[in-house]
Amino acid sequence: MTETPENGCESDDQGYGAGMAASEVNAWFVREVLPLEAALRRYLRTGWRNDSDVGDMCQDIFVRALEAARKEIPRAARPFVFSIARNLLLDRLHRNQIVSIDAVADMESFGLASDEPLPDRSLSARQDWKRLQVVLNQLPERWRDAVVMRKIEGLSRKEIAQRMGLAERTVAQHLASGIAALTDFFNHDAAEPKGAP
Amino acid sequence: MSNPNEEPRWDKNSRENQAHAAAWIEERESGDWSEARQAEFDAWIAQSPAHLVAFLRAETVWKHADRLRALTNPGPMKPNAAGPSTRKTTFLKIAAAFAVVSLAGTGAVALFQSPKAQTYSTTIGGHETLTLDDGSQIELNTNTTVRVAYESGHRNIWLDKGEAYFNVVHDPGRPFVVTLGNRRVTDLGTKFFVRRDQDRIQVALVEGKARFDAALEPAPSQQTVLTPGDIVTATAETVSLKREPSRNLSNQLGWRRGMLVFDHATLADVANEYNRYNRTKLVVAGAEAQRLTISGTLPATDLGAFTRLATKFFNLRVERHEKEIVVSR
Repeated sequence: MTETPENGCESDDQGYGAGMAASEVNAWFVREVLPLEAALRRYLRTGWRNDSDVGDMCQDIFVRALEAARKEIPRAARPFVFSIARNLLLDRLHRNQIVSIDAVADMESFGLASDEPLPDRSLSARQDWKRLQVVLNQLPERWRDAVVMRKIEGLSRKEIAQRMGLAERTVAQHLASGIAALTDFFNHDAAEPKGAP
Repeated sequence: MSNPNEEPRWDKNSRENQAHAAAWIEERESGDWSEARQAEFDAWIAQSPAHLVAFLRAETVWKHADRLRALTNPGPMKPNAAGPSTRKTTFLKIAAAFAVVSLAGTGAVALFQSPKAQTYSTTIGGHETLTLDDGSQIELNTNTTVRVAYESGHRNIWLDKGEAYFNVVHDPGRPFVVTLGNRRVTDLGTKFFVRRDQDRIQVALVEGKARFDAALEPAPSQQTVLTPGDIVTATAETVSLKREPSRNLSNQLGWRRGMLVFDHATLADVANEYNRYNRTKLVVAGAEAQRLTISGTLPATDLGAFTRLATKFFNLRVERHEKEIVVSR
């Protein structure tokens, strides 16, 4: 299996953030923190009944993790990220007096404080490919078509527009929506193809 | 870092950040990218760590989707393609722990058919499941009394007090009717639960269909057919119907697992619920303490869980007396 570099997308070498080792921090973040998102969301959902807040809370936790890592990259990402999550819930508890006790009190029982690898990190290439297919099939048709043309056929925006008979601006919107939706599907626990054949 | 109570300076709206990040990713590889746009992009990233997070997150998934291309022709599918991953294990473990709690209090009782009504009761903290001879089940919550009369053409149940969950084997030739004072629920193929407090009853439909009669006397009136998610609340004077998402219904049925599930409940409400299940009564003293709110799941008969919560997370004072536990600021 090969990873083909994306045209015009060489983020690993670019430092996007401020600070000296931005690219190192970003690489750590992508490698260690992002894969925790589904577990983090699950944890937050037990602690916070309002689902629509969970995305913002997740972002908040990621931001705190990233900023802390700019000073020093933590040795174990998972306990670090989940202690941020726990503190965030405690903050909310004190400020708003509404928070779930399940999460705050029972974090340990979720096994999230330890640093054992999560089971989902070790998807085989084929499982991974299947999952991509499933996720892709959940996209609205036009978004999916645009994504496939860009991703698999490597077409430019203009070429896709011609192929689909749409304005370039519309294609750009379909693609951006597709990218955003894929991002959700991949990171939200709820969007897993659970139990699906 | 800075004062944790200070509102964070970055853009809080993760949806919006994600949409922007996706648009940037699209544009960068669209075939139409300029230095000027690069500069604008850099500025956007530098503006807020939340922008960076949104970008890294979307970009990681988008790059990951490269595998679609790498594996577009993955060869014949092997039959051993794995099922869903095992990430649900922790939840299952927790659910299993709950199940033990509720099974401990459950004894299934077979009912003999009898021309006269037979009475079944649970005590405070009790939880029993009746299996009737037609296979229907009635699960009794704490401090509940039902009377059951099975006859050839009717199945009549009276809920005299408390709360029960009904899982009815439907039989159109032999209606299953639950009567609560002056009101009545008739099964039309159903799972539902009914709760009766002093002057208020609640009927909630979980599955199937049922008919609710708001008043039996002086004349039958106001029939409503309930569908899943419907909750009827009736007092002496009023009857209201609302629809709840299924999660709320299953929260209300936490007692079937021995648990109380709270969603933004005040401590005063929490104490009231607890007091249905325990002889030692909880008293939350002081308006300030009563107004504190929690969401979460607590074991119905474990007062210690509540007092630990009160001391640990709310810094409340707990005094234990012989028959009550007083919690205050």
